[in-house]
Amino acid sequence: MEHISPWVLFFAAIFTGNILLTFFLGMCSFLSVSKQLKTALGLGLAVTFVLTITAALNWVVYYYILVPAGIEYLKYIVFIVVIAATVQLLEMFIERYSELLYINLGIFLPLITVNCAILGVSLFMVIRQYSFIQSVCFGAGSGLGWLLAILAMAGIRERLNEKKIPTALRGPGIALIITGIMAMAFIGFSGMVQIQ
Amino acid sequence: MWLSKGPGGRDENQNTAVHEHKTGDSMKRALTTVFFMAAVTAVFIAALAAVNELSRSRIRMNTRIQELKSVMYAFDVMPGGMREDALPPNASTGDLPWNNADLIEIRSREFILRSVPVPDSLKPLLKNSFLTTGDSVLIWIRVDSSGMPSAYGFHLRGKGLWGTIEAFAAVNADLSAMTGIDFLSQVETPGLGARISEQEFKSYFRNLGLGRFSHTASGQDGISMVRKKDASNRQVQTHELQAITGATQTCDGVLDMLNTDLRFYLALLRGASGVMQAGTEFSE
Amino acid sequence: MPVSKSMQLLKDDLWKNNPVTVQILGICSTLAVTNIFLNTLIMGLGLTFVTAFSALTISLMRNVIPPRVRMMVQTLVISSYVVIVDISLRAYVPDISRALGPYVGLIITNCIIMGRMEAFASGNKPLLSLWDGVLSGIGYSWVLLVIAFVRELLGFGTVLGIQVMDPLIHGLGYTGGWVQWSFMIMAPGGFFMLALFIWIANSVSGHKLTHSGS
Repeated sequence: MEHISPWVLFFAAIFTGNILLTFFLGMCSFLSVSKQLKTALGLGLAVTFVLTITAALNWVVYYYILVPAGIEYLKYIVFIVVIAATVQLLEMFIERYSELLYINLGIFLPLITVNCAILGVSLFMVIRQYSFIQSVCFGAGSGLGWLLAILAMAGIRERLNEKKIPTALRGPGIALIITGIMAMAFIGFSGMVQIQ
Repeated sequence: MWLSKGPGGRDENQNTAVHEHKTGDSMKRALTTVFFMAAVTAVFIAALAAVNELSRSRIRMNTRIQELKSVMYAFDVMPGGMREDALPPNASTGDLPWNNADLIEIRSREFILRSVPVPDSLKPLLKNSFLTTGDSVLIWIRVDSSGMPSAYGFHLRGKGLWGTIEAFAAVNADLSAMTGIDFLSQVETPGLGARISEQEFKSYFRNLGLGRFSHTASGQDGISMVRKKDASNRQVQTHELQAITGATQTCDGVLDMLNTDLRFYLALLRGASGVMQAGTEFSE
Repeated sequence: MPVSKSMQLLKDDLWKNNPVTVQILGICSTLAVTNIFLNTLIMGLGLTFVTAFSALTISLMRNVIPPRVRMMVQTLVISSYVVIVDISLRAYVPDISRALGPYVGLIITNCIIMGRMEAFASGNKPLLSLWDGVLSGIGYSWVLLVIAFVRELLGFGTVLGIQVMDPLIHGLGYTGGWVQWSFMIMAPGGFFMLALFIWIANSVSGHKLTHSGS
């Protein structure tokens, strides 16, 4: 769909339609890796990076291989293979060339293959018929949106440690309630322009 | 935890490096692995291709039935004995209890499809819209028992927040009011923009006034949206729809689609006096 | 298959070690569709089918898979079953398939399935693995079905698409009908409902159940 500006998609993916807070994608690692700001930042950056790259790669694979061959129904398999291979290559590359980057980012890469946000963005891109540029912007925006959400979450959770929380609600329970409140706050972005 | 090691795993790369000199043994093992992987992949892909082949015609039939259901909904043709106001506000077109044979029978008995050429004078209007039709457009005509047209239907195309919105709209024979609309495809946010496909939103299109399109005061939109409507257009005819709270972008997109596309179609239908003769019969 | 072990699995998968409330795994692909009960039911059935048959397949192949490609084979098997589910949905329940959109495909990345393959199916006999797969699927689905039931009831006032709140309110002698909690249909409703469920589950079981994150 060629009429939507890539910039609109980029910002919409961060705020009005946050991939995590509106579409529930990437919840597993969001809940388990959001206990410390530093790790949350590392994982968030790795997700943004991989999301942008795989959105581009999967777009090319889909429109230049799967569609001409008439085997769109295999997209799930092909997309997940492309994602796994990209992550594997990136990991080897980073390990070999930058120890600093490897310590900060590389250790999160294996977690990413199973992050459903990555596959989700590739599937959304196909269903919504985005062009190449739109897909890349949507991927980058979604990644940044996820980063924003997990950073906010980690910041809040670090301060929660000393607070009195009912025993049964500690851990994932309270994290989900905070996520819900964040989601409500983000819905506010979608009403920024008034209808009449 | 199982997550701590990715597919393939890092340590195995190191393994290969260390054992590189024992070529014979590890080469054989690597070949077996590759062969195994290729064989497994081939088996599964073949199975999937078979499943896909078997269900292909069924899926194609479903798509056709789905479109017919939407067309009937827009023309306000309900399955026998069904009253529209009995539908819950979140009902979608798929919930209507049609049976496929009835759909196809009504389609061939009451509807004619015409491919109508677009006159040069209307080409600029077409260019402003997101419609992708070329020199002619497809018009569905519903005829009454005496063979006279009672309503016209056509495809609309616009953009929402996330992507293309495709709709099918119908207007009455004297082009004064809309008969209805249905959304064929949309990818808006679930729970917000996606609610355009629900009965509540679509119900305000029934008997929506189109008078503003005929005396075209410049700068005035043919249709507008308000936050809360007190009565349906069936009860009191207006040119207003009820917007969905929190789905500003989607509603703006729908409104934009209606105003540009309807302007074009209404002008076309008004110009082609007797569309029945103007176009050539179109068979699907 | 040994009866005691099967019973143990039954208890573990459905309650004591429930994938959703205890392990907080795999909620992404399904939480999104829990605003309508029927969609959740279909997703749950699809997920149970994929988990069960992937477990069976992996277990049958467990002695011949070269260790190096174990994860790749698992992914391939899981995604193949997901493609089958996707094609069947499009062929037999097209409307639901349209409503589920990309979330069917996302079953592939559901951590529960991979987790069961690694932790159970790759080390156990086929029938026991199948049983474990079915139970994990059900253990996962019933929690989300409870959430979906409440969300649809409050959000739309309906149960399985049939209006129940309006007649109830009229029956109690009030006028005006049910005011929909549109908040319940939207994402925050899903988050809050799951949190509430975990809270209740932990309170009922008397102690805080451990989860994989801690």
